[in-house]
Amino acid sequence: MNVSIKTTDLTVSRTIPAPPERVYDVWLDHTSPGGPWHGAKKVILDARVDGLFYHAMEWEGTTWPHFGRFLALERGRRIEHTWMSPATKGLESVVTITLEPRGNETLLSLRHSGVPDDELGRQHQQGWTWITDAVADLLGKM
Amino acid sequence: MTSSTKSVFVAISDPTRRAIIDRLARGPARVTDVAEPFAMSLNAVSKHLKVLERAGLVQRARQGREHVLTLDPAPLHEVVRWASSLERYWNDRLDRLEAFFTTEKKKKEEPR
Repeated sequence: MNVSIKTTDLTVSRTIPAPPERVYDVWLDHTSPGGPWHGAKKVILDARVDGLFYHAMEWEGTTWPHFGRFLALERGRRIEHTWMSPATKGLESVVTITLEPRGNETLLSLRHSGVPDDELGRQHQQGWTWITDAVADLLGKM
Repeated sequence: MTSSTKSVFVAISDPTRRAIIDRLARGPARVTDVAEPFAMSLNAVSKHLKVLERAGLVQRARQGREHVLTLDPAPLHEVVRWASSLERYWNDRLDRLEAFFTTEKKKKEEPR
């Protein structure tokens, strides 16, 4: 498919105070409050390669449906799945979670690639309002 | 969040500095012009300007005997990027994962 929409990648990483296997298991357990699917209105999750997922998230007053297909699952090392949501505008973006041991902890790196770039531009104004309102809150976390 | 993004957040977290940004968004200005509306010493305003300069938001150029300040909005785009929904979404998820294991660890370490 010839995709004319400009896309971008984003990367976030965090050191999690648990070994990679535990982080992996919790990430894929939609009943765990530590997992990314927790709090969704509905979750369907078939965690195997070529298994599909669906989850509906409430985010700032809107319900966002997410669909994807698992591409790679290596316990304690890597989770990779496609990701389609209103934010990807029909494009199949890819989420890759890499887990690396750091002593008794885990360095988790999450890369979300193939995300339409215009989404960022569209949110400039909203972003500004949010920034001024939430900066104090954010600084508390730093 | 990178340390440079963090310094931009710190810079815009103060109402005086946001007012300075608003002033410079209308065009370059001399230090004395920027300081004029504030009920604080020139020295105090200079400290705020230093924070803005370190964050890369304000550039200073000498014109004769005057220092002229110009706004560079580029670092703000970095912040807006960070604030875009998808990145916030993932940061929120990772915050939750981290909090989950931190709580679990604390429970284990508590003496019975």
